[in-house]
Amino acid sequence: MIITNAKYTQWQGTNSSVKATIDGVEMLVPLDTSNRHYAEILKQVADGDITIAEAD
Amino acid sequence: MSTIGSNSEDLILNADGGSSTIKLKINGTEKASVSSAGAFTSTTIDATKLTGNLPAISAANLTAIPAANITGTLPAISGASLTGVNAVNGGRKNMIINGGMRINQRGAGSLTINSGSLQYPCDRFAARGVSSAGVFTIEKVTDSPAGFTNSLKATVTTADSSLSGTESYRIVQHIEGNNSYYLNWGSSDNQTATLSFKVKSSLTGTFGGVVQNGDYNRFVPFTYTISSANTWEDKTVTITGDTTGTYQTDTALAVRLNWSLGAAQLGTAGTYSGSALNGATGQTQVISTNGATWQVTGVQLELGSVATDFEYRSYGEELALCERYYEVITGGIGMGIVKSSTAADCSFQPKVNKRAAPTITLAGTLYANDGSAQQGASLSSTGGTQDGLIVVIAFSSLNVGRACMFYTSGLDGRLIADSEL
Repeated sequence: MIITNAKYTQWQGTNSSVKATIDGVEMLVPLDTSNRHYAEILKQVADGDITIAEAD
Repeated sequence: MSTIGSNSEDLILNADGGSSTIKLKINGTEKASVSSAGAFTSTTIDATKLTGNLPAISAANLTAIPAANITGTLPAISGASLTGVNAVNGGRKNMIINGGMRINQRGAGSLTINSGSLQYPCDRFAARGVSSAGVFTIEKVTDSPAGFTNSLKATVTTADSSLSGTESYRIVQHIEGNNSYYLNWGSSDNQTATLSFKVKSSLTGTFGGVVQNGDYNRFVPFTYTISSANTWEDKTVTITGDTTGTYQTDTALAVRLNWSLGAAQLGTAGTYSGSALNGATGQTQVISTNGATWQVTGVQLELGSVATDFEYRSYGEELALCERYYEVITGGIGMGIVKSSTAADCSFQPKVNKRAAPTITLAGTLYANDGSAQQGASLSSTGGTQDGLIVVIAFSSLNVGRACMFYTSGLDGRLIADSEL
């Protein structure tokens, strides 16, 4: 997956998802390690390939 | 000619003695006899002379009857009397979802596969190419064998004839642990599974695939043979269960079932490996032939060593099974509340509970109506579980505190919940 523009979003004042462009499509990815997109985001963060910006 | 005969009276051939036998010989060779116990034995009995009912003969004495000689309709036999017959798996036996390739929620047409990203030509089946050297297209087509309406068709558009490293081109279905836990793979109670499918290719020869665990550290290749080009053929592969390794038994990815169109990492069919394998030794590298085609449908993976008939499910059942992993929502999306002039919370309840909290994507135009209709802008945030979500959607000018309805106009707008493995 090609992941860009990863940024945390919040609901009820806490981080609840990552908004990112994945393979050219903007997606809201929940913070659930069973979600394949979130698992890949975590992997690419761990590999140093991407970072997740803090929520506004 | 000599005749032993009688006229209007019995003719008796008598052989006295405790074990004496009456023998009939021709040219010195015995052809028939009657033993002292009364048993008649003959080297040949003319079938045309056997008329009327045969005496009851113990089945124990009926041996070596060629199966080809058993024709016609068998009599009704009590199931209690059928022993030693391989059980026919009943109920939900097929671990593969959408094996007939009918469901295509994404509406994908012909997809170009030139990267490692999974692309879905129909629900639950994905294609990927871990290299950009070779390219193939994949699409759901109507060309299919009897009993099916669709198949997946791969066509090589750029050949890769020098496969190396981790290069791999394949069609795959990922199987959830909840749907395959009873295989008991990764234990001493490992069960045998049988894969059956219908395949057609412009090429002939030995083809390959590989079964991989979700953790991608257990691999067992398999092979099958295509004998005739451009002809649908039935294939069966028996998969002996793995005794080691980890195979997930919950919502996680347990098994990757791959058909290889080309790979550099090849292994011996039927032999498990802890090193990455993406195909079988000796397999035809479909990706190496520009214009080559390969099609598949009627895919079934079931417990046991016997390939039984394909499990046909109703369209509604199959769609619901697919929606556990990917759901497209159009029309009424949900109800919610306006929390600011530029954002509203939408309560979204999927039709089918998801495998995991889904990724949310918005395609096309979404509308909100808090008394007046407004066109949506974009997704802002989401929170929730696999059972239900709150999606925050940005709008330009809303009335704070009002209830709000979210909807699409026809099929133009779509909210997509993706929980694929």
